[in-house]
Amino acid sequence: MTKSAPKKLRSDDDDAASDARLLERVAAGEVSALGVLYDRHAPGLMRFAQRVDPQEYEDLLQITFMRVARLAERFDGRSASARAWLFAIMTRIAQERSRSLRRFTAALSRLADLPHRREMPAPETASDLERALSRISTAKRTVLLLAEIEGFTCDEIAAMLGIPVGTVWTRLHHARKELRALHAEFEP
Amino acid sequence: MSASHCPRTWEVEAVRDGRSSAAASTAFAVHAQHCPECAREQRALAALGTRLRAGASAAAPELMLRRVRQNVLAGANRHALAPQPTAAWFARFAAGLGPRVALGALALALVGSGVLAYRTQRAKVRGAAALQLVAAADADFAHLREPQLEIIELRAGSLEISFRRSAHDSLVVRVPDGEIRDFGTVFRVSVQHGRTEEITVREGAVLLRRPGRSDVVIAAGETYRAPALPLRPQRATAPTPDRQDSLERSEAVAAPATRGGANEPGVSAADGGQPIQQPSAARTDHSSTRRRPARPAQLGPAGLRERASPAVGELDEQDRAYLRILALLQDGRRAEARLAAQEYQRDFPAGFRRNEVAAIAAATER
Repeated sequence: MTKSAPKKLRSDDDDAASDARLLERVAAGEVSALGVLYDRHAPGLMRFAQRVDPQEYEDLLQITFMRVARLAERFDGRSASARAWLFAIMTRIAQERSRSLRRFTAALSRLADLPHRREMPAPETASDLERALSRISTAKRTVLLLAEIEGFTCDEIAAMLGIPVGTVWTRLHHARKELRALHAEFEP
Repeated sequence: MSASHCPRTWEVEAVRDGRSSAAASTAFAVHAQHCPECAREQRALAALGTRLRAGASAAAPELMLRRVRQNVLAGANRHALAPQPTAAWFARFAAGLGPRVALGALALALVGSGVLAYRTQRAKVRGAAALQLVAAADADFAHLREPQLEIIELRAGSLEISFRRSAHDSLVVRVPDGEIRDFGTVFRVSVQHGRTEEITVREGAVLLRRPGRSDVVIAAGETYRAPALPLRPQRATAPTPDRQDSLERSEAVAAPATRGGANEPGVSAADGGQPIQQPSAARTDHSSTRRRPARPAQLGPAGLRERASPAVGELDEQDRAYLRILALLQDGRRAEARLAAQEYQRDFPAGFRRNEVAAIAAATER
């Protein structure tokens, strides 16, 4: 992923510095700063959450910002931008919830001899692409969304998810491959 | 992906993902100009990205964003108001460590408390100038100071309050039907007929707390307005259990322009509020000798809507419905379990067990 023009970079830097200051204020207990941070990033995070967890995206957004309020003092602006940090928090919460739901479903299956089901189906109103997207695994889908929609570089994604960059490349490749297999429109 | 004959097609993705060096990317760009397969692959990947981004560009649901915002800020406020770890907690924690570590921690704590005391002193000095009040002519209020706490008792009228919060000073505005916690703000509060009529926040956020009712967070740019008062006393036959709910639901309704007339009944009891105990500290009273008639409420943008917690009875019903689903599953009656799960989803769309019930409903469909 290449960055945009120098003028835009300057603006991004200003926003990042402003976000870092907001997080400092949140860490100091200033609730209004959390509101400003929410207004700035919630729409983007919500769109990401809608695709990562279409059933529970509202909860995901709320838990993310509640955790931001708790973890703000740990934010280190030198290692990652505030935006990447927020997406990393949301991604980890989504992974935790996905694991928890899988465990619960597996326990239910054992209890009542039900067939095991890995993923929740996409809503009936979703487009073909959304349905295809919902059928690839959460790990691959997350990497694809972060790279293609949110514009993070593979190095940034690796840092956010705490995985090697090679794993990011592999997941990205397989995500595209599966999505294209499910959606013939993108075949060359 | 379709079968490809060019051995360099994989480089399309490598360049896109930043796997290739700058030199390799440049060399591949030259190759792609003459290779139709690689050019097709580039277009296909670009189209995929474009479609994904197009799907994500739909406008975010505004109501949902506002609802989550209020929940987040209310949660953060509760966290900010929660009691901090005490010295006894620290002693217990230190006792659990080895003696050397405990001694080191004690030394750190002593240095820390010295710094804290210094900062507290400075905050107190600054605190005197951090609070500014602009009272309307009809304002009847008192200003008290307690250690690390500024208290304003507003009995009637309007006050414009500007407060810069420090680490050790906070502000509470006591109103007849509750209190307002300030988190470093500029806001205006109006009290009429023994209850909070309106709060307008210009900067920061405040938390309105009233006995027996859920907290309301009012953030910058938002206005809270109390529900309209009944013009006649309620008849004895009116259903009483819905009284609280109707009040909470009507928070967002703009008040009628005729509100504030002299014939209105008192509301302190009907509103469910209880008087807050007044402290015995010395106070500065600012009661005006002449009262203006209450100004009519203005029709304006809708105020905040409280999120009422589900009633205890409803929670019991949810639990019973969920336990019934589990019992049906354990008995192997899957079809009935699916129907019960669908009933749960219909009756309690935001129920506490909605995730589990959705999983059961999906699993029993097969």
